[in-house]
Amino acid sequence: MNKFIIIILLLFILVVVACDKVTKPEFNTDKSTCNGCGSCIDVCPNDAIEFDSNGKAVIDQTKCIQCARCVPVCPQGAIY
Amino acid sequence: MKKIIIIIIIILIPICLQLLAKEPTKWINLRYLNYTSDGEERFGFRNTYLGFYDLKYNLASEIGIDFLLGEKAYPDNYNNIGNRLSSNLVWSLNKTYLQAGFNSNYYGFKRAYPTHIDGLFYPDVEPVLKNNLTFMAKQTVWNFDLEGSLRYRNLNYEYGDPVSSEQENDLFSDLKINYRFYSDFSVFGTLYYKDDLANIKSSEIPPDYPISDPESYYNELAVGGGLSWKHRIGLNHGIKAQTQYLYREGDTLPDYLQNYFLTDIRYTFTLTPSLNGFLGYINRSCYAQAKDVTTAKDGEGDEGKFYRIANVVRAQLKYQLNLLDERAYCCAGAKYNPENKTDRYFVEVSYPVISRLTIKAGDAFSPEYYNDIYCGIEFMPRRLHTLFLENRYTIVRNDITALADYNLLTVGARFFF
Repeated sequence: MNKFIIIILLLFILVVVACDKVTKPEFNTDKSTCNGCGSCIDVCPNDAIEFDSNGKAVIDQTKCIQCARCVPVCPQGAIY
Repeated sequence: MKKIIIIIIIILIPICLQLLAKEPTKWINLRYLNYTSDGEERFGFRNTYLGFYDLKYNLASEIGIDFLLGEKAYPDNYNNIGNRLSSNLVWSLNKTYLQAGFNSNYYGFKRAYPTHIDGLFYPDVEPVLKNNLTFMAKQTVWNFDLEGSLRYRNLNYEYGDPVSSEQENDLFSDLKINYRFYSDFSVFGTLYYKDDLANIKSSEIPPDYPISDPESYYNELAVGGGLSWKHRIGLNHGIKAQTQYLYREGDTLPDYLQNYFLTDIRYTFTLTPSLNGFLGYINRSCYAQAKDVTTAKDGEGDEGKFYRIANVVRAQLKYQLNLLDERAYCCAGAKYNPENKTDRYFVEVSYPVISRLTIKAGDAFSPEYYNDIYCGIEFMPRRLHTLFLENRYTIVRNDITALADYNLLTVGARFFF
């Protein structure tokens, strides 16, 4: 059963990698990597990043303009 | 006067909690900084305080203060003066968890770069104070895990000449219901709603304004569900996977992001007592009609298909150089993100040369953004107390941050008691 699930997951990865990509990027935070330092919040020129209830940074997609200024200041590389 | 009241409140909260707490735990990090900004040497000070307080009646509290004061904008911060305050009060008993919190960000000086809140009638604004009120509740009933959270956000900003003050408020709500139907499997449903609380009044908008419904322009709804799977392979290997579908709706979101898929897989392993690591993969993709996606080729139109938004693969290995001393390790990792080009590679070594003296060195390299070279030395005069000297030199490879190469020398102390 578990091997079957692992094979399904690997097939899924192969399929999605083969898809076309959208031209407009969307940045998000990897919550398992974010250490809650807040550097991304300080540099965001559009006020689009905040802490959630767990102290992890989240990007408000309604305001984000994909300028990517938050990417280099993240010490954990949590923004992708 | 307002500044003095804020400073007094910041000082009084930890003192009051200190008096009420049974066994407080505090962590203080003091740093004096010497950095280059606009080609000139600058000095700064940064103090971080974290306190954890175990109170009576199943209550616990934590408080965090991060205070920054610099001669000019700190390299990774647009403010040269800033103060972040956060506080949480938690009540938990058996399978019930309640949390109320507050966090605020005070900008003592105006930002070097104005904040542009897209869609606001006043295009360039400068934030002065930002406050968040948060509430979270978790409850487990039989095989169900329920989790709900609310966040009320208030932003005070200034704009125009002569300067005028204004506020912007938002309300974020999250709900998650999880059902564990098999030891390794669970199914869940989620609801997220953001209400921009009508920051823009229709009456204030000029007739030629490009937004048709400004009162709900920044609202967002995301509703969906998914499956998660957790499995251990022996004692040393574990795998977690989660896949989720979201229906997203909002005026500012492109149509092609309505049917949204998110998959997260993480494999952790311990190969020997000294060697462990993880391998992670995250995929974000959407199902859309080709005509809605700007990559549409000739002849494509109403046909629906999957598009990838972002794929990220992350791998990390850590080798413990001495099993009896956690300060002796070597760690390396890589992140590959072909769509948004946020690739990153890093290596870090830490080794205690003598019992109380540890040296550290590392390099984080991002082909698109920076090369960050780091070295430091730490001295522990007493257990849990550290004095440190570190230097970070950053070579900027992309002018996206409008920063030149910079050096950051830090002398500091960490206390945990």
